[in-house]
Amino acid sequence: MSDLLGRHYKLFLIILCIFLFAGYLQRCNLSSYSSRRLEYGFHGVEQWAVGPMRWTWKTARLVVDAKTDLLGLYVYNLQHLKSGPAGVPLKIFVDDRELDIVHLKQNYLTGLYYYIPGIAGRDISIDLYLDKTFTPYKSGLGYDFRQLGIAVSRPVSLEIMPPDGIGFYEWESWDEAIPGLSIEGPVKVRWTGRQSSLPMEKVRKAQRRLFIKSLHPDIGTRPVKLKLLGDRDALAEVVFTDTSWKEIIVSDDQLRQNKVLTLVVSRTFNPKELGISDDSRDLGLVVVLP
Amino acid sequence: MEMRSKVPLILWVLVGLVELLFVQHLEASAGEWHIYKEVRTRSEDGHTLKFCKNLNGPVTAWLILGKKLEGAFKGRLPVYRIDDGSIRSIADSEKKTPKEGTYINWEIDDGKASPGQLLKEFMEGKRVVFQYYLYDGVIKEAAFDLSGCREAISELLTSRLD
Repeated sequence: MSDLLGRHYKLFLIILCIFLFAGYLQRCNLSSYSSRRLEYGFHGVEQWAVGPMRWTWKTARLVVDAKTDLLGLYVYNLQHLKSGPAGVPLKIFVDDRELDIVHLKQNYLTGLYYYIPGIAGRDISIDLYLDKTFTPYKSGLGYDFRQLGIAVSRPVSLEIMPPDGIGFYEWESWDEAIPGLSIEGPVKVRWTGRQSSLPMEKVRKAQRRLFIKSLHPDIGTRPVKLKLLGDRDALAEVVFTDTSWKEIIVSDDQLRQNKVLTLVVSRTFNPKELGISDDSRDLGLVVVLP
Repeated sequence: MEMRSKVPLILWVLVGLVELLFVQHLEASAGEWHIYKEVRTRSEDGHTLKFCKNLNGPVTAWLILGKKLEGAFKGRLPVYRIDDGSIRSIADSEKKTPKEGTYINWEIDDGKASPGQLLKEFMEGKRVVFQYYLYDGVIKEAAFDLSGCREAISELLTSRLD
C-alpha cells in the first residue's frame, strides 16, 4: 500500500485537491456559478415557521434576482450572539453601496425592507457584515459546533408598497406644538430608520407638507443630512443642525411624477448604545405623518 | 368469505337508509336548510382564496393562509391589489371576521343585484396580490391567478332557487 502511495503520490495529491475544491464550491453555493452569482457565508437551509432560513458566517453575500424595486429580508438574532447594549450591529450593503446599519435585538425576528429604485429585473448582491459569531456548543446548546452569526431569510421582492410605508418605526403620539401646523391634540409621528419610504398618497394626505426634526444628541456639532428621493431622482436635500422642526413642501409636480417618497438619513443614533435610555432602536428623524 | 360477499349489500342498504333519512329531514324542516356555494383557487405557495355565498345572502371572500402563520391577521389587516389597480384594504370592509387564526373573511358584495365594484374587479382581473403582515414587522405576499374567476363567480351568483 505504501509502495502504491509512494509511486502515485502526485496523483493522490491532485485527487485530494479536486475534492477540497469541490467542497469549497459547495460551501460557496456555486450551483449556478457566474462571477455575479457568487453567494457565500451561509450554512444549510433550515425550515422555520416564517419560511426557509440560513445561518450566516461573520460575513455573507446573497445574490437575488430582484423582481421589483421593493426588497425585503428578515433576520433573526439568537440571544447567544452578544455585542453592544443595543444588540448586534448588522451592516447591509447592496451592490457594494452601504444601505443600512441596524442593531438586532436578541431573540427577535426583524423584517428589513427597502425601496431601491432601479433594481427591478436585475441581479443584485446583498452583503451582510457582523462583528462576531457564536458557537452553540460553547453556549450549552447541544452538539452544534458551527460558527453562527444571524439567521437570514431568502430576500423577497414585494409587489405592493405597504400603505403605511416601510423603514419607519411604529406610530407615536406626541404632545408637542409644531410651528406652522395646527392640529388639535397630540400629533402622530413616526421615527425613520436610515432609509424609509412611503407612498406619495400619504404625502398628498398631509397636504404635501412634511414636518421633520432631528433629535441626534450631537446635532449641534455634527449636522445630519436628509435626502428626499423620488422614484428615480433626488427631490431635495435638507441639513439639520439643531433640534427644531423643519417644514418640507413637496411640489405638485413631484407629487404627480413619483409614486414613492424615500427619506435617506445620513446617520442614525441608538439611545441605548449611547447610554441615554433603554430605547434600542436606530433612530433617524421624526416625521409627522397623517 | 360469506361476510365479504355481503359487504356490497350492506353498503347498499346503508346508502338507502341515509338517502331516506335525508329526504325525510328535508321534507320535515325545509326552512332550516341552506344552499351554500363556494368557488376557490390556490396560490403556488399553498394559500387559498375563495368566494362563498348563501342562498340570497351576501358574497364573502376568504383568504386562508396555507402555512402555519398563526396570528397573521392580529395586527394590521391585509391589503390587496388586482393587476395595476388601486390598493384595497380589507380593513375598509364593514363586515369581517375577528383577527384570529390563519384565515380572514370579509363581505365583498351584498349578492342581491348585479355584482358590485369590488367583486367586478376580481371578475375582470388577471392576477391579485394580497399583502399581509406578520409579527415583528415581517411582510409577506400571496398571489393568485384570476383567469377563470369571472365564470366561477358568475356561477356562484346565479345559484338561486327562487
